[in-house]
Parts: sequence; C-alpha cells; structure tokens
Amino acid sequence: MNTPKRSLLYVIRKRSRTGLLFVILLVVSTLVLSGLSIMDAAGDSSAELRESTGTSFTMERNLSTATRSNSGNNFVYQQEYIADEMIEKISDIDGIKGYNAKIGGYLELQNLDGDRFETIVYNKWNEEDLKYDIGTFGCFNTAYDSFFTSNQFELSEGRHIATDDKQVILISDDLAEKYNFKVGDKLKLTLSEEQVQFEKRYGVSDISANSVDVEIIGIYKILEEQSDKETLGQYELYENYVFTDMATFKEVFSTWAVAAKENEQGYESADFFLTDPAQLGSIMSEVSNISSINWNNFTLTANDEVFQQSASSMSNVEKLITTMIIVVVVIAAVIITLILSMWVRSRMRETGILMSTGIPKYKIVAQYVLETVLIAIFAFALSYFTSNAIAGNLGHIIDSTITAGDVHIAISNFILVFCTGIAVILASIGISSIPVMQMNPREILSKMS
Amino acid sequence: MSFIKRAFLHTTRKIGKSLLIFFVLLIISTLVLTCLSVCSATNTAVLNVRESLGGSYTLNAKGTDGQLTNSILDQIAQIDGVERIDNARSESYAEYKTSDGVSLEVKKDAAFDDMTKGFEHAGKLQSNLYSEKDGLFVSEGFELLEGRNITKGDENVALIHEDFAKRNGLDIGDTFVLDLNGDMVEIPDYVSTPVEVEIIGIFTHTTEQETALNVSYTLYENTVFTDPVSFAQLFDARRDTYYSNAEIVVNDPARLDAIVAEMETIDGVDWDSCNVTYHDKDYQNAKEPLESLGNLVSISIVIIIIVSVALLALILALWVRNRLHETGVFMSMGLGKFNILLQHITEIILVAVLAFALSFPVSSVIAQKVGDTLLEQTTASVTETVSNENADEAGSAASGLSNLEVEVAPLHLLIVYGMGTLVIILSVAIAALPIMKMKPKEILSSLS
Repeated sequence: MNTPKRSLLYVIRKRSRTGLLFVILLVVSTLVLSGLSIMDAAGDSSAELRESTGTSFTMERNLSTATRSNSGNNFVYQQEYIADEMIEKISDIDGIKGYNAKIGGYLELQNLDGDRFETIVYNKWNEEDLKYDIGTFGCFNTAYDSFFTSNQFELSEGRHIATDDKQVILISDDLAEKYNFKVGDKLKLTLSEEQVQFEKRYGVSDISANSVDVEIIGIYKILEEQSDKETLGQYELYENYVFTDMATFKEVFSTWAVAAKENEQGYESADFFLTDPAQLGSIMSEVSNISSINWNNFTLTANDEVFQQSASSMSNVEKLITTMIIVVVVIAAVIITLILSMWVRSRMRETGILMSTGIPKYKIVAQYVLETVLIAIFAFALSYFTSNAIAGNLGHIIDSTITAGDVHIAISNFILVFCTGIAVILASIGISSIPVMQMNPREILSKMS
Repeated sequence: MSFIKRAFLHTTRKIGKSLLIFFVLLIISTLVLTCLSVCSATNTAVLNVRESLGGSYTLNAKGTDGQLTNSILDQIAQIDGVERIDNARSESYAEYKTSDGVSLEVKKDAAFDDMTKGFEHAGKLQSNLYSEKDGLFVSEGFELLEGRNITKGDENVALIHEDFAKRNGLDIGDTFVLDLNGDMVEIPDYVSTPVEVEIIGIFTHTTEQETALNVSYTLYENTVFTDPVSFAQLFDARRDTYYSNAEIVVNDPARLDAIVAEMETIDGVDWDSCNVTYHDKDYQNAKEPLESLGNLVSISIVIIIIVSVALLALILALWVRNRLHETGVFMSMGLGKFNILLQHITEIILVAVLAFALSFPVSSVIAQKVGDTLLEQTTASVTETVSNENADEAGSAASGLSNLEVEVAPLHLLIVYGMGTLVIILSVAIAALPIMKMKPKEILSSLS
C-alpha cells in the first residue's frame, strides 16, 4: 500500500478525528482571514478618516508684493489675479480631489416671463431699489466652497454644481419654500433694467440689462444662522444667496463692461482639497514648483489644522488595530503548531507499528503530512466562505449601517493564508516528528501508555 | 486513589502532554487578554480622535429676556463633559457721551443717507466675558492695538476703535459714558441708566467691512466692547448680569446631545425660547469613518473571543478522545464515570491555573511593548508637520487628550479566567459524553 492511499484511508476511516482537525483548521484560518480583512477595512476607514479632515491649501494673491496706491480712504492693490489656466494646472496634480474659486455680484431672480422675485428681508429699511437683489456667486465646484466645507450650508436636495455644469443654480431652502421652487425648475438669472438704472445713477455708463436661463439643480439648508439679520442688507442674507456655475455668472455680467473686465481678470483666491492630508507637504511643494506661475505674486497657505490636531490620535487607532491583528495571526500560527504536535504525539503507537512493518520513516512522515494537507485544503477553502459570512454579518449586527459588503475577503489575503497555512503544517509536523522518528519501533511500543 | 491524586499524578508523569496543553491554554488566554487590552486602548484612541476634533455649542438665550445669568453659567460649567465656558456675550447699540453728558462723534461718511432717529451718536455695543473671543476679533480681523482685552471680572471698562478714539481725542485711561435714549428703545419717556466706562484698550479692523450700504451705527469704527456688568446696568440696572448667548466647549463632541439635554434640566431658564447651535463640523465629517473603526474593533474582539472559545473546546475534545483507551481501562476497573470525568477536568484545571496565571504577565509585557511603540511613533509624527504654526496648535491640543495606555485591566482577567474555566468544564464534559455512554468493552474494542 502506497503512502497516498494510506493517508486517504486514514482520513476516511478515522472520520471523527479527521472532522476534529478539519474544524480546528477551519476555525483558525477563518480567524486569520477575518482578521486580515478587518485590517484592510481599518486601513480604508483610516484613509477616509484622514480625508474627512478636509485638508486643503489656499492660493492667494500676494498683497505684500503688490503695488499699493491710495484711492480716497482706501488702498488699492495692483497684483496679478489667479487665472483659469493656473487653477487647471494645479488641479491636474495627483492627490488633489477637488477645488473651488468664486466671484460674487448682485443679480436678480426672475421667472421665464421676466417677473421679478422679491428677496427675503429682515431689516427695517427695505429699500425699493434693493428689494430684488440677491448675492450671487460664480463657482467651479460648490461642494468645495467654504460655505459648504465649513458646514455653514448643507445641500439638502439635488446635487452640487461641478466644473462641467452650465446654466445651473443652487438656492436656499428658505427661498425655495417662499416661492415653491423645486429642483428642476427653470428661472432667469438677471441683471435687470432697474439694476442698470440704479448703477447709471451712480455714474456707470457701459451697462445694459441681460439674463441667462438657469435650472435649479440643488437646494441648500442654512446650518449656521447669521446673528444679526435685522442689520443686514437682504443681498447679504444667506437665505438670498444663489450659487451658479462660473460660465453663467460671467455670461450674465458680460453686458456690464467694468464687471465683465473684473470677472475676466481672474480670482482672488482658490482652494484645493486633498485626498490624503499626509501628502500636503509634497503636493504643495510640487505646486510651488510649477514654473509657469510667477510665485512672487501668489501665496500658498496650508489649511491642515484639523488634521494636525488629530493626526496622532488617528494613526494610533490604525496602529492599535493592526497590532491586534498581528498578534492574532502570530498566535494562530503558534496554536496550529501546538495542535499538530499534539496530533503527531497521539499517533505514536501507530508510528511504532508502521515502523515495525518496515515502512521507511520519511514515508510515515509523508503520510501524516499528506493527511493533514488533505484536510487543510478543504478547511482552508471553506474558511473563505465562513470568514466572508462572519465578518460581514458581525459588522451588520454591530451596526446596521455597515452592509455585509464592507468587510470582505480579498483573494490576495486568501492565497496568503492558504500558502502560509500549508507551510506551517509542513514545518510543525516535520519538527514534532523528529523525536518520534529518532526512536526504534521497540522503544516506541514499550513507551506506550 | 482519589480522582484528585490520579489527576495530579497524570499531570506530573505525562510532562510532555501536560506541557502541550499548558502552552495551548497559555497562548489562547494571552491572545484574548492582549486583544482585550488593545481593544480598550483603541476605544481610548477613538475618544482621543473625537476630543482632538473638538466640539462646542452656542446657547442663544436672546429670547429669554436675561435669564442666562452668571449663576446659570456656573451650573452649565459644572455639567460632566463641559470643558469650559469659552465666552458669553450680548450685543446691542448704545449712545456715546462724555462724562459731562456731551454727545461723542461717530463715523458717518460711509453711512447710508437716512440715519435712523436716535442713533446719531450711537454704535454697536458688544458685551463679552472675554473680548478676544468675540467673533469680530476671532474671524472678522479685529486687532487690539494698545491696552488689554476685557476678561472675566472686569467692570466699567471698554475697548474702542482707533477711529473713534481719534475722532473724539480719547485715549487709554480716559472715561466716557454709554447711554440709551427714548428713540433707540422706542419708549417715549425712557429714563436711562447711563454707565461710565474706562477705556482699557484700542482696536482696529484689518479686513474691510463687507457691506457698502451700512447705517452708521453698524460700522466697525463705531463699535464699542464692554464688560457684561456695565452692559446689564445700561439696559436694566435692577437686573443681574446676563448674557444673550454663551459659547460652551465640551470634551467629547459625541456627547453634545446628552450635555445639552442635561443643561436643559437646569431651573430658572425658559429653555423653549433658547436656541442651541452645535459647532462640531470636524466631528460630523469624521463621524462615519470613526464609527466604522470603532465597529471594526468590536467585530475583531467578538471574532477573537468566539474563535478562542471554539478552539479551546476543540482542543480539549481532541484531548479527551486521546484518553479513550485509559477511560476504558478505568471503567473496567469499576471506577465511576463521573469520577473519571472529574479527574479529566481536574487535570486541565490544574494546568489551566498555571497557564492563566502566567498569561497575565505575558500579555502585560506584550501590551506594554505595544504601548511603548505607539508613544514613540506618536511623538515622532507630531514633528513631521507642514507648518510650524500648526504644529504648535497640534501640540497644545494633544495635551488635553485622554491618556492612552495599553494595559491588561482586572476586568479583562476576570473575563478570561471566568470564561476559560467555564469552557474547560463544559467542553471536557461534552466531549466525554459519547465515551461515557459506551461500555468498557465497546471502548476497548474500538481502540485503534
């Protein structure tokens, strides 16, 4: 009878022993696999945690190197503005997930027939001329606008304005409620004839009325109310803010020469947000090495206070989880070794009998190894499914917001466990067989209990 | 021979076998102990993250007509989880006069044409426990040029704008009067209670006031900061010092709801007319990943405990099965089945006591090592900051955190020892059940 056949027969005939070893191997490999997938999930969550600190950097016109001139009571600074090409170049860098720059102005909202909508008002002086004025912002990505990143506003319906959006606006829920506006409604963003007349009274000449059709794609909620609304002009009220895409903003103001020229010259500042705050230093130095930008005219400021405050605690969480899993994996390997040596020791008598029938020692060891590997292959294969189920379901039980898919077994982890497991089996059976194999059959059989 | 003696003899004579089971028990209990200690350290680390992200809330009690007094503030500060009252403030408008009752001049050139009647010599009056914490100083670019800020305990003091000082020839140490008039409060025969204040500081603003259409009394230049005592005296001399809102900083942003609920049980305030605004955006942003990290730790510890129990049970089952032959012999000698079972349990417990005892120092050493490595790396990582200014903030913020220690707590020992013993007794008994049902002849004939 050859070795493989003996192994197979042993495994089949000693069903309960086989079953025990099978379950032990299954349990241990399930533990290790679940542990590894938890470690991966912890890594993902930690990356998400770091990202949630909203780390960004701000590019601004450098006023300290600007030419300064007096104009009445105020200083006027002459400095280069941030151009579209600069923003594009910076946002192309790897690791930058989003950016925003904005320009503001006062416009009106009208329906498609040209009827004007009055704004929400709290102050006492409610001037006739200003009744319709809304504070309007042209933005690239409203999701990265400071009002939203600082949680002053929160998008409650629809979606944010992104770079490729055209003729879209976001409005406040207060305004939406007042006029029963809904996501998908069409309005006109207007530089009205009355506004034109108002400007003309103050000596503006090159200006004419204009409007652009826009669609409401999102509605925001004000989370942080302004404190003294009764002292604010209605165009300053958050309730009356309207965000639109950059192109539409520029388009509406295109019939007002001075404003159009201002809009074309560029932006005062721009914010760039990072996927991984740990890269802030390297990305900022990469940005400051862009040679086509004259860095004498601009400053870069890191906005990473939140990350700096919490970075060490955050990395502690991840390190602790990793440590725990390493402890689990190492101990699992030790346990398998111990169990297998128990296994080999309990078969001393059989070893003695096999030896006395003249079967070479290496063949006996090979038989034990073969048996265990045979069992292990099935146990490891099954552990892929059990650990998937256990990790996923436990996550679901502990917190119903975690779906079973959040913790799943990566194939690479499975292959790792499989190969390492087989190696541990070979090593531990080999080592624990050494003392038995050094004895003669007579020694073994006389030593028996 | 009693079962205890038999158990002792088996354990000492079969040293190899005993050692094996000893190591198995030692390793499993060390695993669970270490993981429990790491798990509770992780919970502390998660708490630290929350604390470092911080949280506070603004209590707006404007609607209560002066119920938010010093004594209420003191009670709020006592609530468990409240770190400090960061600031308490009120704002209104006041008319400015010299001590002799002559009106002082305010800036008007940038103002809206039609001045509201009664506000010709008035400006915004900000009352603060700590003036440097006022929003105008914190986020609107106000800067103190000379003198000092208003702080808790100050009475009859004021900070004035550089422009207002120049316009009226006022300087630090001078006094002037805060007053109200009938037109301002819209009460025709109003009898005011003017307050004389000493100028202790002069400030300016560094960013342009955003509006071009202000009325003069909202201009930055005409703003005066004063202490809460003077403010209360000006508006109602009979009343306690009060505030219209307070900024309350808490330790753990996750407990904001609980703290506010506790605050609302304090008597003397009509809480329904109060507004609470949370300032916990950093925590809100981080909440989801933070919670899933916490959950992952809980999942791991549950898996580890379940698997450890299962492993222990399986190994003990293997152990009992290996003693089949011996059991058959004992039974044929007429020993009671229960007696044999007790012997097996005693053997394991004997070894387990030693293994469990040793697992405490072993897991403590591992936990200690883990803790040391973490602390080392933490101090190293704080120095890798992008900007020095932020590093300072990080350093100071870190000092307020809970102490992160990885250690094996008595509770952990209790869990492991209790559960371990229970598992041993149960699994040996259960594994022995089929054997005990057999007759000696069956057992001895079923031997391999």
